[in-house]
Formats: sequence, structure tokens, C-alpha cells
Amino acid sequence: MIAWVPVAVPALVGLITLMLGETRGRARNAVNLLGAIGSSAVVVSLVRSAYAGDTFTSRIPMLPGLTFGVSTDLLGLLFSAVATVLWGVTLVYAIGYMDHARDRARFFGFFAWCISAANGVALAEDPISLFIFYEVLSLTTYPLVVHNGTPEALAAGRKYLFYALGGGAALLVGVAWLASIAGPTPFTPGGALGAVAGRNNELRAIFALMVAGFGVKAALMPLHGWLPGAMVAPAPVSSLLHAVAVVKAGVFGIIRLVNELYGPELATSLGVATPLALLAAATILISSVIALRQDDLKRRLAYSTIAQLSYITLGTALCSPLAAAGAVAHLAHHAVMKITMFFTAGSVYETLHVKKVSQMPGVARRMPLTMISFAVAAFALAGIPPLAGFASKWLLAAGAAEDGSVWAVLVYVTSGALAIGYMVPVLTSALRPGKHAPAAGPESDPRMLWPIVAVAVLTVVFGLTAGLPGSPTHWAITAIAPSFGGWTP
Amino acid sequence: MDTIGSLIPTGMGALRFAVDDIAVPFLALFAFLWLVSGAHAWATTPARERGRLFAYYVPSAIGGVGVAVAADAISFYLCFALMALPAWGLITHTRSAESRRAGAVYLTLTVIGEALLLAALVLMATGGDSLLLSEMRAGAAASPHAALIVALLLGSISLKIGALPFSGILPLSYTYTPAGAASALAGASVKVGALAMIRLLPADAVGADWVSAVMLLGLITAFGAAVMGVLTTTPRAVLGYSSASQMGLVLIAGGVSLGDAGATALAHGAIVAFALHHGLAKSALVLGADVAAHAKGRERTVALCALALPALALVGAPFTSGFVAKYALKDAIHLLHGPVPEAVYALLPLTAIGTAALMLRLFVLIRRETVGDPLPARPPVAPWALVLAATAIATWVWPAEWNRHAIESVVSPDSLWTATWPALVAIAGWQAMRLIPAVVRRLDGVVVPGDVLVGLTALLGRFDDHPRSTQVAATPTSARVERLRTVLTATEGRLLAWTTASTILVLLAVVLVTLALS
Repeated sequence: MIAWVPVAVPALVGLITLMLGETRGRARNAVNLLGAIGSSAVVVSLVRSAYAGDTFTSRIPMLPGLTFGVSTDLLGLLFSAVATVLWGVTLVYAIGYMDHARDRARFFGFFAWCISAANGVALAEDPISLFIFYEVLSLTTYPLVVHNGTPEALAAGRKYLFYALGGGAALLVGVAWLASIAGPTPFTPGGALGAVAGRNNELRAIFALMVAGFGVKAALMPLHGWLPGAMVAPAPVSSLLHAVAVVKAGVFGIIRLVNELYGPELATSLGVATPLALLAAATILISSVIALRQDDLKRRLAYSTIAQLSYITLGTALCSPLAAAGAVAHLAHHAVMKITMFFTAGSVYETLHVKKVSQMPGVARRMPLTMISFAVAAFALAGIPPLAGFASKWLLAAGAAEDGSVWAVLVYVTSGALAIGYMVPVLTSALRPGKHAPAAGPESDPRMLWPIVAVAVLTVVFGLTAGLPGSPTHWAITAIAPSFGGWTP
Repeated sequence: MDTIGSLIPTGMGALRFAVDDIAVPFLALFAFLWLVSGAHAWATTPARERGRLFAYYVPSAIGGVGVAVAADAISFYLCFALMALPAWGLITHTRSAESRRAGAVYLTLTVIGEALLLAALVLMATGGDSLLLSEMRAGAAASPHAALIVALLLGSISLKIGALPFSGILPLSYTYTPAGAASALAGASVKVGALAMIRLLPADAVGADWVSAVMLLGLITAFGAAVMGVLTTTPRAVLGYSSASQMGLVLIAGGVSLGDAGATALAHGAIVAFALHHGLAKSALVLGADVAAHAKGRERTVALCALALPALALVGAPFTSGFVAKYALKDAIHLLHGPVPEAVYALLPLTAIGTAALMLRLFVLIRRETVGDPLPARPPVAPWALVLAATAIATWVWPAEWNRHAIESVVSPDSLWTATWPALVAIAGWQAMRLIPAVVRRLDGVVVPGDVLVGLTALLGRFDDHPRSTQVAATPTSARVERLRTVLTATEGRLLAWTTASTILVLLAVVLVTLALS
């Protein structure tokens, strides 16, 4: 039953939060923080067992022949750990950010439920369980997107729901079709479809449907339209859900689909991997160029997210072990880099009411620690060693080169250059002298400042330790190796 | 899985640095120049601005020195980025609009250069199945992507050293930078391109036509950048184009190093010799120009006389470091046979005419220059004197294969004459120009520092127009039309400048080719 803890604890926390109501703020904060710390501890111990080879599986029978189950394998735990640990960090930030906001019970309640659903997506042991969690995630995110209640937020929410439910429908058809021809297919490294090999056209159609389903949350162009709009949500939501949990659920689905449902071999021989790779490559380049033109900081970050998510999709679709490992590592690395930036954008807005890049002159003098953290994350994102982004980009590019896909290497380095192109103007704009005088006291609410510093430090640590046992890179390589039949780098 | 593959960097502990034969001269050069230039920058920067300058200078210096001893792909790329990216802060230190534009062009080209370098490193690492630079370089020849690797490396190196058509990056990055920092950029940072040639360009990986093409590109850069430099109006811009011109000569050696292993060894010697010679001499010129510009009366005359030493060295006058470096280069080229190497060999002495013209132009501009900006103190003379001393002796006393031949031939009248006549031709030409003052006035300053690259910013500005978006909002359509008009006029101006410069270059080329064939 321990396998259910990462899902059950946040779900319970969400329920208690809603029951506590709006007024009992201290109790709400305590329950949330304790829940985050507790489930983080459990996830860490599960990771230790998984590294030692012990995975726990737990199933609940639903219908005859249909089970709802979770399994604590190393790959799922990586996503689960990212979501759970960053949930704790984001809670501290959100408590500061939402200090004077309304409807905080609803906010924190649904927030916890989202984390519960994301953990479910991470640990689901078969496509049907994954689908259920994926849909729950879509629905629990909606109240957070429309939290402000403005017409703009409601419109963005409608758009989000339209995309999410459409994607969900495609995924449902794919999952049901697969179940009808193959029966239960728990995720297995290297592929779980040996029984139905040969039904190529059906398998291709199912792959396309499932990619369409996951592609919505993975913001694969042209399914990305909801993401920039959803930036109207409060900063903690953008930070955790749109950089970590929700969008990563999409790419994580693609990782499971390619590596552990179809398997790299079948995906290659069916000829479905290459179109996916090309789509991801186009997404990377197009959205990076669009990001160059965004003056609104959060929108710039949103388009950058779209590009970075496709790094992961492209790495997975290349079906080469190093690139696949790089993709999984990038899932964790991008999470810490992008959450730093969204935290920063929120903090700058909350402290100085600056939303646009062109309004940023003077911000670096006024909020030095915040902007240094942003700079660390920005350079990491652009792939400057020794920061986190470099480690995963190196694996992705080396995997592409080993595979002979020189074009993908060029896509990765081009988008790295474009990333500097859209990140550096934010920094240079903030460095210019402007109207903001240096802060007399602390530069911002410490509950917002220290989480930013913490995630920026993680960005550095993940880069410095890349490849050492326990680092996301090593973890990703260990988790991905079985999918490539005992491959060792 | 405790052992992890050869292609995966395992933490910071895995970064490898090594002091090998190649590292020693570069380490000495980079460490010396970054320190001495830093001392000059410290003394000439007002105390309240030091923090802002050195916040960029120190990381850049760490990267710039570390890159000499970087032994694997990751540490090399790390040091390269650490050196090149913070240099943006040095270039934009004055915060003027021009410096910001120069910074934007510099950063854009640098980032493109780094992307090309990273792609090359990734392909070399997977091809050689190693992260060690020596093994990667050895394995690159066997890689199925050998030609692509060489092309990526050459692209990256060209952007670093300012080969045509990117020569503008050097004058742009020197013009607005404080003198001390400019000296470090000119003396040390650009030489990383030379280091990259030795560390990365694989021998025997591509055919003889590549060797010829690269040598030609180097030769064209050597002449073309000199032409553009003579047409600019500030000492720093002249020095920038002079760097590009000299690095064109290094690129010729880089081209030779692509050939078979025998030529490679000699070419590497020439690259080291040139890096040492040009790094020290250029740094001495940048620092000296600053000292001379702030001196008055007799001191100024003494400073200008002292400045003649590095200037003569660049021209390759007898008994200077340039003499040794050019000798090494000639030796390397002489090893190759074929129409292109032979033509390059024949035309090489003529590049000194361009250099001599640049140096004359430099002296005219320094004498013309009046100094507006008050400094907290006069620029110190000690750092400059140190670099001058190093310029005078370094290539002579450095124990190496490449200078033996040059030292032996220093007293032969033949080589003395070869080293002297180009300077005399330039002086004669200079005197001849006095007969046609109207033409000279028209040509004066037709090239703005950065030439074509400045036009690029207008293009880039359209992709990334946020700094102007507030102004555009304040005054709608008319501002936009106005902006378009400015862009168009500016582009037209650039084109004119470019045409003038290239016409002169083409005429020069015709003369040179005729000379080579005769």
C-alpha cells in the first residue's frame, strides 16, 4: 500500500484544506506543509528502495479484467519526486504570494489535488490508470487557471478545458482501442505490445491518438494554444503546474508511451518515432523564435516552456538510449530551472508590479538576489555548463549524434542559442538603470525570496553533480537503461 | 551502475585540466595579459564603477585563463563560455547607446559561435567516444561527419577571430570597451580562436581543397580587414580591424594544419608564434594608445615613440616578434604544394603593406585625438611597460622549434629586405595620398566600426523590439515610419561604405593576383 502514499497524502491534504475553509489560515498552512514534507520523505525512501531494486506495486480491481494500479519504478519516481518536492517549495512561495488573495482554501485545496493527480500519472502502472489520473489532473487544474475570476481568466480557462478535454478524448479512444486488442498492458521497459505485434496500422493509429492526447499537455505544436493563455493564473500556479506538474504529465506520458508501452524498437520499426521527432523539432524552433518577440515576461517564459518540453519529446522520439536518458533528466532539470523563472516573474510582479520585459530597468538593483537566481536559471536553460541545463542538453545532443541524427544536434544547439536570445534581454533590461530605487529593507517577502534561491541552488547542484549516483542524470540513465535491453552507457 | 560511460560528464570532479606543451605558451600569455590589463583597468576606472566592471572582468578572466589548460570538451566549452559571455559587460560598460548596440552584435555572434562549437564538440565526442580533446581530435578524421565537424569548427573560430565577413566583431568589441578590458579582449580573448585551431581542428580529415579554401579565406581576411581598418576614424577601430587582419594570417596557418600531419606540426608552431606575438603586441598597442592619448607634450612624444615598437612588430620589421612569427608561418606554408598554397606564399609579404598602412593610420588618429573624458588618475605606465618588454623579447627567448629558423635567418640581408620593403611601400603610398587630399577626405571614415554587422542589429531589432516598444506605443505610426526610414538610410549608408571598401579590395586583389602570376 505504500505505493499509494504519494497519491493519497496530497489528496487527503486537499480534502482537509477544503474542509477547513477560508478563515483558518494557519491550520491550512500547517496541514499543507506537513503533507508536503511527509510525502517528500516517503518518496525519497521509495527512491532508495527502487535504486536497490525493490519496487512496490498495488492494484485496486475495478471491472473484471481491469485494474487501477500504481507501481514505484525508478522512472515514475523521478517525476513523482520532482512534483512532490517542488510542491513543498511552491507552498512556501504561494503562502507568501497569496497573502492577501481571496479564495485561498479553494486554491490550496485544488493545488494539492493537482499534485496528487500528477503523482498518479507518474506512478500509474498501465495506460488505463494513467488515463484516469491524467483526466483528474485536467479537471483539478481548471479552478486554478480561472482563480482570478476575471473575464480574461475565464476565457483562458475555457480554452484550457477545450484543449484538455479534446486531448483526453483522443487519449481515451487510444487507450480503449489498445485495451480491446491487447488486453491489459502494464508498462514494461522495452515495450509491452509483444502480443499484438504485426497489427501495424492499428498500432500506428493508436500511437497517433495517444500522442495527440499527451501532446496537448506537452504543448506539442499545434496543440500548444492553451499554454500562453493559461499564464493569467497566479504565479504559483504557473510555476508549479505550467512548468512542473501539468505540462510534465504530458511529456511523461510520451516517455512512457515510447519507451515502456511501444518500446523504442517497435516505435522505430513502425515509423512513428520519426514524425514525432520532426514535430518536436519544429515546435522547438518555432516557439523559440516566438519567445524572442514576447514583451510579457510570463508569456516569454511560456513559449520557452513549449520549446523545452519538446526537447524532452524530441529526445524520447529519437529512440537512442543517451537521448532518452537526457530527455528524462531534462524533465527534472527543466522543472527546477523554469520554476525559478516563474517564481521570479511572480515575485517581481508582486513586489514592483512589473510584468513586461521593457519595464524591467532598475529591477536588478532593487531585487538583486531574485535577479541573480533568475540569471542562474536563464543561463542553465541556455545550456551553459556547469548548470543543470547543460548536462541534459549534452546527453540529448550526444544521443542524437550517436544515433546519426545530426539534424537533431543542430536543432538542440540552435535552440540553445535562441534561448540565450530570449533570456539575455530580460537580464540586460533588468540591469539598466531604472526608476526602482535600491530596497531599504528586504528586497521582497522572504517567503517568496528563499524558495527562489532554493530552486536556483538546485539548478546549480543538479548541474554540478550531474552523472554522480543520485543526481537526476544518473537516475535518468538508470531508469531508462532497461528500455534499451541492458544498455550501459 | 557505478561506472558511467565515456561520454557522460560525471560531476565537476570529472572536468579535466592539463598543462601540456600547447597549454604552456597560451597559459603564460593569457594569465599575463589578463592580469596586466586588469591592473590597467583597475587604475583607470573610477572607484564607484570598479565593482560593475570587475563583476564581468573577473569571470571573463577566469574563463580566459582556464581555457588554456582545459583538456576535455566540457571544461573547454565551460571556459570558452565563461570568458566570452561576460565580455558583454565589458563592451557595454559605458552604457551608451552605441556600446549597447555593439554589445548586442557581439553577444549575438558569440552565441552563434558557441552553438557551432557545441555542435562540433558533441559530434567529435560521439565520434571519438571520449571527452578528452586530444582523443576527440584524433578521432574526428575517422568520423562520418568529419567535413561537417571541420565546417562547424571553422565557423565558430571565424566568429571568434573575426574572419571575413565577420571582421566587424573585433572593432565593435574594442571601440567602446575601457582600455584595460579592451587590451585583454584584443590580446587574450581573440587568441582563444588560435588555441581552438590547435586543440580541435583535426589533421587529415578533409581534402586539399578545404586546405586551399581556408588559406584563401585567411588571406582575403588579412587584406580585406586592413582595407576596412584604414577607412575608419578611431584608433580602437583601426586596432580592431588590424586584429582581424592579423588573425587572417593565423587562419592561413589553421588551413595548413588541416593538411597532413607533417604540415600540421609546423602550422601549430606558427599559430603559437603568432598568438604570442600578436597577443602581446596588440595589448601593448591598446594600452599604449590609452597612455599616449592622455599624455601631453614631451611625455606624449616619448609614448608615441614607444608605441612604435609593437607597431613595427605587427608589420614584421626585422628583430621584432612579428619577424619570427611570419617566418614560422612562411615555413609552414612552404611545405604545401599546389597553386593556392604557392600563391598564398607569394602574396604573404604583401599583407605587411596593409598592416603598415593600418599602423600609420593609427598614429595619425592618435595624434589627432583629443581626450574628453577625465580619468581619476592618468593611465599607469607600468602595465604598459611590462607588456612592451614582453613584446620585445618573448618570441626570441621562448624555447621552441618554430623560432630556431627565424633566429638563424635574422642576420641574412635577404630576409631583412623581405621584412622591410612592405613598410617602405606603405610609407611611400601614404606620402602619395597627400597629393590627392580631396579623395582622402571623402574616404575618411566611410567604414563605421562593425561594417555590415551593424546593419544586422536593425534586423535583430525586429525580432526583439521590446526596448523600443514603449516608445512605439507613445507615438504610433509616425514613429514606426520614422524607424523604418532610419533603418533604410542607415542600411544605404552601410552599403555605400561596404561598396567603397570592397571596390578597393577588388582592385587590390586584381593587382595582387597579377603580381602572383608574374
